Amino acid sequence: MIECGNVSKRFGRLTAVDNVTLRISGGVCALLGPNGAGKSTLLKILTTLLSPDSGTVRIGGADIFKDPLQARRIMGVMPEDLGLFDSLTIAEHMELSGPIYGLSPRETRERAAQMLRVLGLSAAQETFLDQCSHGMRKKTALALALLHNPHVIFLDEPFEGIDPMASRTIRELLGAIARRGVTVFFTSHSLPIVEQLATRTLLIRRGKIVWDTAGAPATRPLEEIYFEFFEPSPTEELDWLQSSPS
Amino acid sequence: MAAIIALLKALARALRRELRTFLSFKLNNLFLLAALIAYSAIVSGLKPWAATPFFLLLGSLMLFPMSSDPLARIPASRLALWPLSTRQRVALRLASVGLSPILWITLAFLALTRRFAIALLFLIVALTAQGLAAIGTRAAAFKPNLDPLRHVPRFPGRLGGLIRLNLRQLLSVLDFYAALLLAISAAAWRWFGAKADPEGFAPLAMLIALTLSTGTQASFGLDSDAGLTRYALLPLRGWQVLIAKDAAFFSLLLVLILPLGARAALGSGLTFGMMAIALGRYPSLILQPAQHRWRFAAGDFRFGAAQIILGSSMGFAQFRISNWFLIAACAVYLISLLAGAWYWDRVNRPENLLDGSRHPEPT
Repeated sequence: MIECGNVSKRFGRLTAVDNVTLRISGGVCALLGPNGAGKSTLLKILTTLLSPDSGTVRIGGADIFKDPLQARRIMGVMPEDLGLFDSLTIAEHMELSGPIYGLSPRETRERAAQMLRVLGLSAAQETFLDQCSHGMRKKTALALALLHNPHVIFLDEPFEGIDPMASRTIRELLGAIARRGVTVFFTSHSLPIVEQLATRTLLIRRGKIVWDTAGAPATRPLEEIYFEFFEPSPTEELDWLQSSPS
Repeated sequence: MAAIIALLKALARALRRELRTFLSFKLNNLFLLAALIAYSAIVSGLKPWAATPFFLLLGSLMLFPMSSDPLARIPASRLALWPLSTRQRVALRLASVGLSPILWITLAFLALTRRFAIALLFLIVALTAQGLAAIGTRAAAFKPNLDPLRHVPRFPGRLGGLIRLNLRQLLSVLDFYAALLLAISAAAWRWFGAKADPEGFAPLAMLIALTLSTGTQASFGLDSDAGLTRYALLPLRGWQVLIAKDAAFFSLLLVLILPLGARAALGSGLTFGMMAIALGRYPSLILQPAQHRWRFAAGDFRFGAAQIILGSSMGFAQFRISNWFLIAACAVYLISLLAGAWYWDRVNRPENLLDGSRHPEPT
């Protein structure tokens, strides 16, 4: 369960998150919005990485200000910068994380092997992170978020830069996890994936939640709704790109 | 021609920026000690020969990263994609040699001394260092198990993975290799020297600890922003994060100084090590000096001087006067651990991540 009340965050004159109030209990919730809309800032606040200027946040019943360690114990996070160490291999990341969340070394090994197999990382598990492709790094961060079987999962753009097969596996995995009652909260730019996976969709614009399917489930295609709120930039200025190549 | 000039300009800019990272040795404790020895000799009217081995040690280790191919700063895929003719590529390759710092050092040395033989020897040594580094890198790429960093063991316990990470970070700065060379020389002297004086073991253990000590001021320097994010997400208390850093330092230090005997290692060497960590705690948590892989660690001059002076004073006092100085160093270390842990927990509480300085960019 994710609960936040009147959360706001400003960076100088920019209001990144503007008085957001949410209550998400189970299911897969997607947060959509263009770059700079406040998606990652809100995710950082919910995952204890950033302090809001005002508001309250509770994750799985734990107040993140009073008991951040308990909140961190029960959540699995794939942050925007992935939170990985360049000088560890993929397998070593699992070995580092498992025991910290209370898994035995054997449990960690078994879960890691299964997880890496499912995500198609088995062959690369001895590769140092600084030698991994962006997709492999993303899958590693996802594996780390899921390894300890958390109550609440936060994923920042989990499908971007991932191959279609892995993307499908992740979608199925998240769907199955959510059916067990776990709350999955993710940000994305991929409207088709959100349409397929999310049981609830939020649109954020200039830090405000401007649309939420919790109140009224969508009856129209998501793309249509999205472009009602966000206008694409005009391309007339780039007319030199529309002339013959030099 | 314009394309080559533009490329060389960009390359020179990249090299100039990279050269600044080499200057980290100026704030390294081993360099500070060598400079102090040289200064003392000069003001006493002597020639600073006693400092020469330290400067040679620092210089020879820096040859490895310094002698690398200047053209390697351009990403290979980008270089391949640029529409350059074979002639242009050959010109770029030849001109890039002129940007090598090794060439400038050789030319400067020649201009100042006109000693061709030594300049040639320096060039040969630099090229050999570069050759060895290139062979090592390629061998590790071809057969990953040949990379020695891979064989750093995982320590048991909840923090075992973090200790391995920290140990690997310590092994990827040049300080460790300087300490290793000193440790091998010291151990060889102890075991094979005809007149190895046991009185010399404790100062040597302290010298090895001093060589490693700058890294304690930059213990989070090799954790990128992403690494710090992971630390913030882990359900760990501050003392656990810091103890994982300290355990890596102590285990490396003990491996290097134990060949000098238990008395020297567990006495003066450990005393110095504990003082170094305690004094390095403030800069490592608050000043957070930058740290680059395969360079010497750089700290803050004030804390480096304090580490050298207080570390060696306590170490010598333990060696000459009493073991109470070891206990005192242990107490200072524990106080620094508690204070550092308190600071870490405070900073990593969400309500104290006030301005988002760790994650400054809103997206």
